[in-house]
Amino acid sequence: MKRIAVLMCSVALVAVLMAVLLWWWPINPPAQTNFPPGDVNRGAYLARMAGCIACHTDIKGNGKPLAGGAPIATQFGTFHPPNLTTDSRFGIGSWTLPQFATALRAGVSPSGKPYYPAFPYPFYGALSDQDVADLWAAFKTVAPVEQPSPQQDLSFPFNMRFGLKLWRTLFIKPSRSTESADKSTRWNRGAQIVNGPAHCGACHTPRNLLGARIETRKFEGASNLPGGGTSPAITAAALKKAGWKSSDITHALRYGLTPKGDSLGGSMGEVVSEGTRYLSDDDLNAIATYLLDEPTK
Amino acid sequence: MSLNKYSTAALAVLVAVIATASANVSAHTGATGIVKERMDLMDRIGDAMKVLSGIFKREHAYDADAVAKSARTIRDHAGTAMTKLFPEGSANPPSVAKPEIWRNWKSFKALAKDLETYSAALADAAPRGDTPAGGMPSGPAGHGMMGGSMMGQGMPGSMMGGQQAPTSDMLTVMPPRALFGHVTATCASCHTKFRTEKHEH
Ligand code: HEC
Ligand code: HEC
Ligand code: HEC
Repeated sequence: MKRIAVLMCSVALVAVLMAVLLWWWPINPPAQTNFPPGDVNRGAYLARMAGCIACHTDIKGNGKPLAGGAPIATQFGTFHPPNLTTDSRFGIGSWTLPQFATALRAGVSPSGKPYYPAFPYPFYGALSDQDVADLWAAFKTVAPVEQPSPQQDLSFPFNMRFGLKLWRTLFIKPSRSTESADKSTRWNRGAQIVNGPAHCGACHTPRNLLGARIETRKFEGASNLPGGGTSPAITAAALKKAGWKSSDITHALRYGLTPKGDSLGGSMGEVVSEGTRYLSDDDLNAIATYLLDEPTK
Repeated sequence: MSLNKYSTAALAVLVAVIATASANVSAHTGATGIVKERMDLMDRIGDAMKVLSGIFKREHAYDADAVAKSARTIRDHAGTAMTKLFPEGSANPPSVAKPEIWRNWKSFKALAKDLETYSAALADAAPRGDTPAGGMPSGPAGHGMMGGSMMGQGMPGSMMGGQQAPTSDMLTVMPPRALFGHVTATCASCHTKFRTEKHEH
């Protein structure tokens, strides 16, 4: 009896100690200050590709662009994509470009807090300085909206943000280039879009119990998607087996239509209507080229 | 030997027939009554969409009659022809309709009506023909490729998102490809809000 009590006490002590350590453990991504001048049009295009507009706008509720997204229910709790307009109180109007860059590429807030990966920053790590400057220039054109962002509403223990530091060390790997010298420029462009800003894997790669993607099962389809729902496999093998040609993929990303004449819904409907349908023919072709020739793991 | 060949061929045909037949059935496994009726309606819309897709994908030459005919098929199956097949509470399996339909009936009805409007406009626009291949990279509504710049002109501040429905005047001058974009966006919008993902793909 006594032994159990001692054991429980020490476990609790260790847990508290670890929590304190974690809480105190600083995460200081190297601060970057030199950025090239940004291009608004390129930035707006990237914001489409990367889904910033889709996630941070409450489309179903007819919310103002980027004033905060619809709640995303997950098994960990409910996430609220915050207000990203230029309002200096409720949005990111008072932020600097370096702070924006650190939030986007490293997932760390201006006050040094880690963000939840429901914000798909792990995919944005490979954005270039130019990309980030372009996005920033585009975000600067967004009209301010005075609308507070709700607190993230998560269940214990996920409501303790500092626990994310552990998650980060376990699961965030330095973004690795997926480029390949033996492949065409178009293939490489596709790899960069799919594995980077377009974050296709966020929904099409299954996740483990802690919500980290299982890279050995990349693009095999996932259940329990953020917001509920399931996604089909989009591996080269699965797409080919179901008869998808390159032009079917570009058509699906432009118009949301499958080769069977059905229209994609679920969260993919929004990916298309708020994102991929705005991409250039060249970029859609690049995505299709890469997906149909994705290297097997 | 030749008998053997014949029987192999016959067997292959039989297998193919059974496979196709069972594929057709499994598309709406067990659906009956009103649910089956609306799945059939959606499938007819889907078939018309396949024809339009072939043309707007430029797999087939532009054919104004085929565009008009398919667009009319969609129009005739949209609006109240569609909504009357969704009586309150008819979202039980195998239906993949979401119960939200009846909580947001107005918005559901509006989307079915939009589909009617856009497909009717597409049928009227069919003789206007398609933009030449390899021209401007065409966005959903035949505008520039920039998500922003298509909104940017004349509407400062709204280039980062925000979308306005075309007025009825605009519909009468839009090229078919742009209207096809509005038709497909309406399908996707309704499926996003009111249908769950299907598990078998
Ligand atoms: C899948 C949905 C999703 C997408 C796509 C997304 N975000 Fe977010 N974003 C979130 C969520 C959820 C949070 C809140 C995270 C938290 O509080 O830990 C967030 C937080 C942020 C923040 C921090 C805001 C603050 O007030 O601290 C910034 C900045 C941001 N996102 C920018 C972007 C940009 C730029 C893009 C596109 C390149 C983007 N996001 C794409 C969901 C998304
Ligand atoms: C927010 C989650 C999400 C993201 C991000 C996402 N998808 Fe999807 N995708 C889905 C869902 C859900 C479906 C199933 C839709 C349905 O059944 O109506 C789907 C379906 C598809 C399909 C149809 C496959 C089939 O067999 O029917 C393709 C192709 C596809 N996605 C490609 C992509 C590509 C390429 C990207 C990146 C540019 C991407 N998806 C990003 C959620 C997502
Ligand atoms: C007003 C809403 C709405 C609109 C607009 C709409 N759909 Fe649907 N569609 C649905 C719903 C809901 C279902 C699921 C029905 C069920 O399972 O009971 C469905 C199902 C389908 C199906 C699957 C049918 C089956 O056999 O299971 C296809 C194919 C389809 N829709 C195609 C389309 C196309 C193409 C368009 C646009 C031209 C379109 N739909 C427009 C609501 C809509």
